[in-house]
Amino acid sequence: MGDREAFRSVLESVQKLAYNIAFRLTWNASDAEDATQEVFLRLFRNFPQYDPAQPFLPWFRRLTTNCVLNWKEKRRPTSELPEQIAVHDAAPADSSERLHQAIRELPQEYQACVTLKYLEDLGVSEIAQTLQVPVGTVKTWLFRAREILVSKLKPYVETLL
Amino acid sequence: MMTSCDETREHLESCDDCRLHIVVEARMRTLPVLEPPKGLVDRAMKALPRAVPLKREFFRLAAAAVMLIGLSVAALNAGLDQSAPVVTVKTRTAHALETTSAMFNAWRSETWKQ
Repeated sequence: MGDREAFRSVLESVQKLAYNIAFRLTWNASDAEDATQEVFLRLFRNFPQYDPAQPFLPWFRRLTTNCVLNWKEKRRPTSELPEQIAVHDAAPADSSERLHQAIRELPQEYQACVTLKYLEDLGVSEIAQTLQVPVGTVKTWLFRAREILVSKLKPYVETLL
Repeated sequence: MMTSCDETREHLESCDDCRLHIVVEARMRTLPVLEPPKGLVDRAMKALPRAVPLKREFFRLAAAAVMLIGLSVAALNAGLDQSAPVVTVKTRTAHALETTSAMFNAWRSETWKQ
């Protein structure tokens, strides 16, 4: 099996994780796909830096999160305005959509925390490791993210139950 | 005597804020996991840069060097074949010397006349 084929099998096994993190940070299927492609390219370039003595998943999760956040940051000037208009104009159809919209409106670092906590089921220390910030910062971000979500969803409490 | 569980339940029944916190927390845990689009890996593999084998790179460089030498030789030959008369350094120097000495002689004869 050649190097490329070996790399393909790595991509096959991590694509779901990468795509889901990308989707939770972009909230758009097309953007999530583009960001995932960028993650795979970064993985290809950074593969020599990976230490096989360390577990692969936390390393890959960190690479993915940072790569998607950088990707978002780079294309912010062109994409932010229409996205914001769409968010404020669109009337959410159901409670899930309301929740998605509330998460989408969170600051980027809060979104990353929420994604890693609720999608990946990571603990605060693992999130801190992934985002390379202190544990206390992650706790604060998660607390604030929950506060914002609760305040935004308060008017719809009955539909959420 | 009320257990802490009962107290909590009672509090939750009356406190909207706490209830909402729990509901939001629970809903976040049930966010669906999405399937990546079909062909995502294939497209990624196509977009990856291909590593050029060392052997092929060597031959490419060798071919470029041979072409460069060939072009230099051709340019040199083309320069020698030109039919226009070539003014050598020696001819130029001799001409310049003649001019200079004629000028000097003219000046000397003018000066000595006075």
